[in-house]
Order: sequence, then C-alpha cells, then structure tokens
Amino acid sequence: MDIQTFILVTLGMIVVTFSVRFSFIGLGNRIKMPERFKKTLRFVPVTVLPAIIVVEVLGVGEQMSFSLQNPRLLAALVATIVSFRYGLAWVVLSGIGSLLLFQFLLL
Amino acid sequence: MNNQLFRAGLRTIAPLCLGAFPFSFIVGAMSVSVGMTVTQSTLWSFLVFAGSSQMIALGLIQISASLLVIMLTTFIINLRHVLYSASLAEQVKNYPFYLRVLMSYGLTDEVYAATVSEMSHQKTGRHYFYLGAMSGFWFSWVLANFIGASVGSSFPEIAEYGLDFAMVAAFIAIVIPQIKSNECLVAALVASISSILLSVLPYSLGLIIASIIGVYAGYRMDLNAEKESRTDPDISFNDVGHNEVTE
Repeated sequence: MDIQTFILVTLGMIVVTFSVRFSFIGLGNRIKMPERFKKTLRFVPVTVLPAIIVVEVLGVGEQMSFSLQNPRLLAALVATIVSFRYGLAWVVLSGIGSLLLFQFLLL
Repeated sequence: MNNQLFRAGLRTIAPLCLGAFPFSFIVGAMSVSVGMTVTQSTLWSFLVFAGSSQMIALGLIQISASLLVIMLTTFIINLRHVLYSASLAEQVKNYPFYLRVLMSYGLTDEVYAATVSEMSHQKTGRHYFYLGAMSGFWFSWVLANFIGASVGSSFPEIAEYGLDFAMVAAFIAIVIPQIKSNECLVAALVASISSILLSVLPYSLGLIIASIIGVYAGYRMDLNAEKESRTDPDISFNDVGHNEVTE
C-alpha cells in the first residue's frame, strides 16, 4: 500500500475511534446520555455487520448470486449454524473448511 | 506506580487476550493480502487498535471504498464505545487530562469488560488496574497481528484458500450471539435486505444507508413493544439498555 493511502486511512480511523472513545470521558461526566439513545445504540452492530455480510456473500451487481450453487452462501449458512453453539475460532474454521468443500463439490 | 494492581489488571485480561488472538491474527494476515507491508500492518494495528473496525476497513479497502466511507463505517461500528465512555466518565472524572486521553485511547470492548467492575470501586490507584489490563491487551493484540501479517506475507497464496471468507465467518460469529430479541432480529433482516437492494450505490454507501434503515426499524419495534407493554403490564422486557458486544 502506498504511504499516502496508508497515512490517510490510519489517521482517519484514529480520529474517528478516538473521538468516540473520548467523548464522555473527555466531557468529564457533565452530560448525561438520553436513555432512548442508549437503548437504540444496541441495533448498530446487528445492522452494520449483516449489511456487510450479505454483500460479501452474495456479491454485487452482475455477480450477485442468490442460489444454492453459490458456495459462499452455503458456507455462510454452515458458519451461522456453528455460531449458535461455538465461538469465533470454530466458526471461522468451519466457514473456511466448508467453503473449500463446497467449491470442490460444485466445480 | 502500583505494581500489584497493574499485575492484577494483566491477570484479569489474560483470558480475553487469548480469545482475541485468532481475530487479530486474521486481521494481520488479511491486511497483507490487501497490500499492506508487515510493518504497516503492525503499526496500523498499534495505532488504530479497534478489532472489528480494522477488519471491516480491510474489506472496504479491498473493494476500493472511499476514505469517507471507511471513516463513516468505522464511526458507526465503534459507536457502541460511546456507552463505555459514558459508563467510565464518572469514575475517571478526577484524573488528569493526559491520563483520561490515554485511558480513552485504549478503551476497547475487552478492556472495558475486564475493568468495569474494578473501576466502579472507590479504590485509590484503581487506574493502575485499568492501565495493566489495557497494556496487556494492547501488546497481545499487536503481537497477534504481527504474527498474522508475517505468516500472511510468507504464504501469499493463503488468500486463495478462502482467507477473505474468514472475515465473513468472523462477522457471523460476532453478530449472531448479539441477536437476542425480535427487535434485533427485525433490525438485522431489514438491514440485510436494504443492503442487497442498495448494493448498486457507489463507494459502498449502501452499507451505511442500509444500517441506518435497520436501526430505524429496530427503533420503531421498540416504540411498539413499549406501547404494548404499557397496555398489558404482564409483558416485561429483558433487553433494555443492555448491549453485549464481543470483538
């Protein structure tokens, strides 16, 4: 990655992550967060991640494939089922393992 | 410097370091596959120090998203840290500015989870506990990233074996345990469908709009549930103001 892109991405992310983490600590407890806001915040991770996951799994535009012939979709289903019971490492291993298997079978 | 508290913090965070190790390893390996050098990757991990955001940024770099989209997505993903910041604000309000800056810089899901109960006790020097936990986690995070980046750069063909799918699988592992109520389920489904429909938008802007639509759907579900529970006092909800996050 060229130095300029690297510096921009790094600085951009530092500014954003730090300002979020420093927000209330920096204000020194002068402002209280509304309960409604707190409650609604719990939807953030459960919406951003699925939005990214579906695009990564199904593809974009012409390449979009919503069918059982799509090995990534099948592997994502396996990973989802595994995640009901097991933690990160197992989900990743079973996801990659089943992707390789489905790619081989559907070739 | 209170060594005893510092070491107690290290001990408390140790299991979480082990848990985050594979995640950071994958981030390291992926960062090399999208074009970072091992040095860049390690430095990036040390400076940004934000697990899910780092992984998502790599995915966005891979599909050539703009810097603005990377920053906006990072912001949205890390918004949950506002909750941690608010919860710690009372406990650290008398600490000097530089200490509050340092403590905020290292405020991740794991550091918060490991220190929140100790920080709530009015013990003098409790920030040494926090600093111990924070430095332990920081160090192991960067180390795992470095190892992942080194392995990734020694075996460039690793990307052909579904490494980009490791990210998708990791996201699934993070998000599924968080969908614990109908409101969250609806928000997740609305965001997913919107994301498919909006995927034609440039710069991956569809992701951000889709998650805003999903959050709005969840918010409306909340309002409805509250209205119903007011008319029917038997319904109680267990999900209020409680946001469990794993990174």
